[in-house]
Amino acid sequence: MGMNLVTELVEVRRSILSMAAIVEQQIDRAITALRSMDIALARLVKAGDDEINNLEIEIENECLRIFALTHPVAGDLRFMMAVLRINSNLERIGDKAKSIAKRIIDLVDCAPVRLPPALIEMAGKTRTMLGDALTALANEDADLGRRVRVSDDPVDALQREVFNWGHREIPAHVEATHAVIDVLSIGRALERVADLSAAIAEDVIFLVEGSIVRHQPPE
Amino acid sequence: MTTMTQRPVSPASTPPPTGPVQVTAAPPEVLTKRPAHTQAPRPAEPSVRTAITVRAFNAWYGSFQALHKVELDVPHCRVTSLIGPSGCGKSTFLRWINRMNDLIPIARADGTLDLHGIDLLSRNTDAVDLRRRVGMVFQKPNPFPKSIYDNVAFGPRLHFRIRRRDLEDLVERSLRAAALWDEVKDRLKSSALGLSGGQQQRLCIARAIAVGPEVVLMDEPCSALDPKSTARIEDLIRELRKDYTIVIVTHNMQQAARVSDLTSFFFEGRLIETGATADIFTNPRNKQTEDYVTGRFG
Repeated sequence: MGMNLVTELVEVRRSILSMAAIVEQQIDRAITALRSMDIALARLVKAGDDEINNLEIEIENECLRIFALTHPVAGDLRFMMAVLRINSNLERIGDKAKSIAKRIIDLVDCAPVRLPPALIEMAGKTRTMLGDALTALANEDADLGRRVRVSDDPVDALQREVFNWGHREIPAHVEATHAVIDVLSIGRALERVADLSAAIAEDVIFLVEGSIVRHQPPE
Repeated sequence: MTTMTQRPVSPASTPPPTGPVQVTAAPPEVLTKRPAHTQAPRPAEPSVRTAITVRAFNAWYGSFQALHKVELDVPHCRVTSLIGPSGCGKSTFLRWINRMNDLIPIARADGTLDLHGIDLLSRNTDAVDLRRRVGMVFQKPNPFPKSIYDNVAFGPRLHFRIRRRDLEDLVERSLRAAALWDEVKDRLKSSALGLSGGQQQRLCIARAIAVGPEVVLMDEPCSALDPKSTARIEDLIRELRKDYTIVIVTHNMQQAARVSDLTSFFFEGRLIETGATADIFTNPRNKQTEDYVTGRFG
C-alpha cells in the first residue's frame, strides 16, 4: 500500500492543528488591531493570509492521497471527513481576518467614528468561540463542541445591535458614512467567524460521535 | 497568545515528528480513545422479515468452544456479511447453517438455529433436503468433472423428477441468473473444467441456485479470483439478493462494504456487533469492531 494509515492520520492531524493555530493567531491579531486601531498589525494580518491559503491546498492534497491509497473507514473515515470540512472552514476564517484587517486600514483614512461597544463585545465573544472550537478539535471534545454551538446566538444578537447603531449613526453623522460601513462590515465578518467556529464545533461532534447535528437547533 | 499555550495546537508545543516505528509502538491517545458512542442501537431494517434466527447458539469442536452465545437475525432477501480475523468462528457458523459440520464427528452445537421455522440442529431435519434449501459456494471453485450442463443439472436431477425439456429450461434460467449463459450457451456439453476461474465460480453459483434454495452461503467466494471476476461475482450477489437470502464470509472488508446490507463482526468465537453495513463502516458502536475495520488489528 506504500503508506501507513495510522502514521498518515497523525500527520494530517498535526497539519490541521498547525493551520488552526495560525488562523487563530490571525483572528487574535485582527481583533487586537481593531481595539487599538493598529495599522501595522492590520497590515501583518493582511499579508498573513497567503500562508493559510497554501496550507489549505496542502492539507486537501494530503487528504486526497490518504483517501485514494488507504480507504479509511469508521472513526478514521469520520476524522478525514471532518478534517476536510474544517480545513475549508479555517481557510474562510482566515479570509475574514484579512477582510477585518483591510477595513481597519481603510478606517484610518476615514472621518473618525467611535466604535460601538457591541462590536468590541462581539469581537471578544467571537474570539472565545473560535478558541473553544479549536480546543474541542484538539481534544476531540464533543461536549465543548455543543457549548460552542450554543454561544453563537449572543453573537448574532450583538451583530443586530451593531446594525442598529449603523442605522442611527449614518443620518446623524453623514460625513462618517464610509467609516460606519467599514464598522458594519467588520461586524458582519465577526459574525461569520462565529458561524464558522460553530461549524467547526459541529464537525468535531460528528468526528467523535458520528452524528450530524448541522441544521439542528443546539441542545 | 495565552490561549494557545494551553493545548497542543501551536507548532511550538507539537511533539517532534515521530517515525512510523514509534507511532505504531505507542499510537497517540487521541487516535485510540475515539468512539465513546452514546447513540442508541440502530436496527438495520426493522420491517424486513427474518430468514434465519439464531439464539444462544454455541458450537464446539471436541472440548474447544468455537462459538459462544451467538444471537443474530439474518434478514430475508438481504446480503449479510460475516467478518473477523482468522479463527474467529465465522466459517464455523456458516458451516452450521447447512450442516456441513455433520461430517465432522467431534463437532456439536446447541441453542437455536432456525431457518423459516425449520430447526437446523435437529437430527430429524434431513441434511440432504436442508442442503437443497441452503446452497453453498466455496472459496475455490469446485465444479464436478462433468459438462457445464451436467454441473447445473446435477442437483435438480437428484432432488426432483423433472422432464428433460423442463430441466433444459431450468439449466438456462440458472445460468442466466448466474450471469454465465451468454458465455457458455454454445458449449454446454464441454467440460466445466475448461472454464476460467471466475466462470467456474459463477457456474458453482448457478449449480447452487438450480435447486431453488432459500439461502445461499458463500465462503470467501472471490478470494481465488482476479479483480475483474470479483467485480462480476459482486454484481451477481447484488442481483441474487432480490430472490435469495445471502450470507457471505469475507476477509475483504471493502467487499463486505460493497455487497452487504448487514455486517456481523466475529471475534474469538463471539459475535461482537451486527449492524447496517453503512453504520459498521462509518460509526461502529464497539471499540473492537472499530479497531478491526480500521485495520488496527486482525
